Amino acid sequence: MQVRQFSCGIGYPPKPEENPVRFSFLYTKENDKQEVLAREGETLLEVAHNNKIELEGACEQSLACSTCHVILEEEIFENLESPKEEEEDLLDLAYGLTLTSRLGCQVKVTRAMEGMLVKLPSNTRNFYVDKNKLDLHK
Amino acid sequence: MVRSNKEYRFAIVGSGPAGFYCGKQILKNTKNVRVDIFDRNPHPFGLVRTGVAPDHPEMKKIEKDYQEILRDTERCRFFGNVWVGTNNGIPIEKLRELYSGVVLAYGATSERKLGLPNEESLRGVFSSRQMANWYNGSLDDILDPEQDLDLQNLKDMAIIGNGNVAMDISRVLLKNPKLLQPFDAPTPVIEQLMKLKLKNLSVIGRRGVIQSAFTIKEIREISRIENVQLYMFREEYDQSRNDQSIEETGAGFSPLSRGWHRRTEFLKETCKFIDSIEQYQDITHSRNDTKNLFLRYLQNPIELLSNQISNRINKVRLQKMVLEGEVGHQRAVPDPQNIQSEIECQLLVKSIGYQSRPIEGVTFNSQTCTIPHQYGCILDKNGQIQPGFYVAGWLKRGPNGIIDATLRDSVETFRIIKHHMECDDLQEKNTTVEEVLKLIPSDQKSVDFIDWQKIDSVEKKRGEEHGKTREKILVKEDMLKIIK
Repeated sequence: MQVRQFSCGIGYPPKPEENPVRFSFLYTKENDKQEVLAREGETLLEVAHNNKIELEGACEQSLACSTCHVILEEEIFENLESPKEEEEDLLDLAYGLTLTSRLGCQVKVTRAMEGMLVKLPSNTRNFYVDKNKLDLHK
Repeated sequence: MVRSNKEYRFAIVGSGPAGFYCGKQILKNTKNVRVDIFDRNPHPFGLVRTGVAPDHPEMKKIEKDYQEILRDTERCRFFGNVWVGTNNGIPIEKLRELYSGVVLAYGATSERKLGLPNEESLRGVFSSRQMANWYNGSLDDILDPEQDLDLQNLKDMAIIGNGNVAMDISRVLLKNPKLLQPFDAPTPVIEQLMKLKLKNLSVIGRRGVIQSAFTIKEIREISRIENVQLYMFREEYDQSRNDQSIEETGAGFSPLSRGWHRRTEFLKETCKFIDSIEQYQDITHSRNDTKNLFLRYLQNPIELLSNQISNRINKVRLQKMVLEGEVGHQRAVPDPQNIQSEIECQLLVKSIGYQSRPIEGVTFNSQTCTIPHQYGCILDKNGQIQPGFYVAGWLKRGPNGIIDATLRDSVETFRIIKHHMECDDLQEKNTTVEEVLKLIPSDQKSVDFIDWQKIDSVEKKRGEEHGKTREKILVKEDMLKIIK
């Protein structure tokens, strides 16, 4: 049996004939950009999971945690409906909050998002950077 | 993915969020690595089961994610009802010999104390953990609700500390207990809560409004409970807003400033202000149906007063505090004018923080009550890292933070594990179930995933009969009987 890795979304990205919206996620820490295919109306969290992007969604889109925090481009952010109070409350606690932060489970894909870049906040301190502090050879 | 195909075996001690997130990271990013998860309880999920309040079912959805990990029985095994490092359990050294790596994620099973002489002996004084254990149906130190809580005679209550645990307790006690019915609060708990006549609840913080420990989400939820009115004392609010505190809520001071600012604004708009003692007396003694929640600030409990005959708490004496120190590092110190006051309470809950306990054979920082580590790799007594020995969650960074923090922290621990795997710093193992069982005392029955599924389905079935998601089994022996 395999560990089911991703819990939201239908499990696979759209096929080319579904006329997918194409955009990218960026793991900010590794500066690693991954292109994804999305269906209009899917949430960014669903898109992430369908495309095997590492974005948690601990509460399964029920607006109880902020594990799916993403950072949007200003232009995209400005054109979205304002977040609900509940989302704002959770964003207050999000790691690495920015002025264009949203929860991935609350943002739905539109055609206008074609080509956008969604940043994933860098996860933790990077210990490779401080390698000299570590005695890596026992 | 980890760039290594070696057959590593990992033991994770503790099956709460930290343990599961570590396990998930390891399994997801490797091919030939297997994970065994140990827990002292016969049930998995730690505080998701016994910490997350029963009226927050959306938060308990994470259990599903964790259950998926256990379902991968080829690569993940569960050893419930097994102690490690303490209580006549498996010694840490033995576990480390048996596995390529051991991750300690057993959390915080103890709590901080007020430091007042009679806090252990007075009736009606409990820790937040005891309260949460009670309404969450934990197998640990269950209160006797008739004797200890005496809810039918409870009119005034105080909670010391204002974190989210204090908010959970407040909400559970202020809410109509019928609203808990559909979820997994034990039926005896709901029956007790039905008797409750709570009128005045004071939640007491040492520092000011801006340093409140609860999140806006929790206080907003309380403010929406039917027949509940929130209050602050004008004087305490005003004195909380010194220059340093206002600077703390300013943009750019901290990523959390926005939250502190929004929360303070919310409190200002939502709470009614109390301007005089007379007004306070009127509110606490009014005969309407409204339940009052007083958010008190800059107050420190200095004495627990009791009824001599019953030895039960009836008042707490508070000392007025003032803020001192630099922006972001303000402390509460006694007001030089030595201003004291008393509030009535027939129940007092200490909610000033959980604490981890040390286990034998592992270095422990007794100041912070955490295990010294570097990026999650445990340090020995000389401060050297020990590849193959790791820590995650509250035991690593102290007992606070929401689930996101634990997730990020487990990812950090996984990164160092990954690094050690790729550097060939770990030994390959093929740990069998028999080898593990040999280490468990013969009178102790371990619980595997199949066993847990039996317990789980009994609880769900009993719940279903009463229109609930689950009826928790409250006694460990009863749980073990199901799998005999």
